[in-house]
Amino acid sequence: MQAFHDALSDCVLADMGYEGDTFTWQRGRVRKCLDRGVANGSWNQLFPSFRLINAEMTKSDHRPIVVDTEGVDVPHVGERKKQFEARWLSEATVNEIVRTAWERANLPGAGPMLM
Amino acid sequence: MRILAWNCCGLASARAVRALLEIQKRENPDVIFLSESHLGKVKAEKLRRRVGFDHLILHESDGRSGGLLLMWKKETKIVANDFSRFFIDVTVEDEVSWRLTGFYGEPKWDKKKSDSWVQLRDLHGRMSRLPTMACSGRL
Repeated sequence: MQAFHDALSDCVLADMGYEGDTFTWQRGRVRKCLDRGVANGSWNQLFPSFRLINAEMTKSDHRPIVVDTEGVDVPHVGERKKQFEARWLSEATVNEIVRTAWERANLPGAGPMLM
Repeated sequence: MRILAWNCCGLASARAVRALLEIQKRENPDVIFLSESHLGKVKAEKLRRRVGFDHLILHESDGRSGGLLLMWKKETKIVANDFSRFFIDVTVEDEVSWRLTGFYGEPKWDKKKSDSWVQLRDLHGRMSRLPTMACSGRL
């Protein structure tokens, strides 16, 4: 593993991170992160909104990884769109509900706010 | 642009090709990099036609192991730089050109794996001024 990190550091390539499952390889009960993307600083500047997704495992014991340079999300079948109803604004309690939700989201360990 | 990199563990069977087509439908990539493709020239060309892509770079499989394949659509302008059993390295010609490397670190023998890292280091030492992204299986 050290040889790999040395090679990356010599090439000024840094791990791009990921969305999705941490582990990209599984055999029986053993799971590892073997597949990844790396990029240099000028690539990151060229594509600041890129996304790297560890996709769904199919047939192989490795997950496919998908890099979208523009960060476009392909909606998955059955996924709910997040929507905001304009008429919520006419409700008297809307300010308080939003404030409470934001405060909760800012607490350490709390999840993001979903509307 | 969407790039799919997959260590597919062999694409010689009909079942494996169906799996790739399913992933392609789901992820809609413009470029596909496959490692451990286990394909020779004829089967790789056949696969390229099945996925409906226009170009490919192949490092043929060594018997039942290895094999790298990069395929892309004609709308994406790609120029080959170099390839070996460990990588396929190309330049994507866009408004700003950038470098894409599909990389494979071989399993099982540590000596070979360190060889693949030496290649990664050599490769990116050569042209490091371009924006560069590498995706890989088995690092």
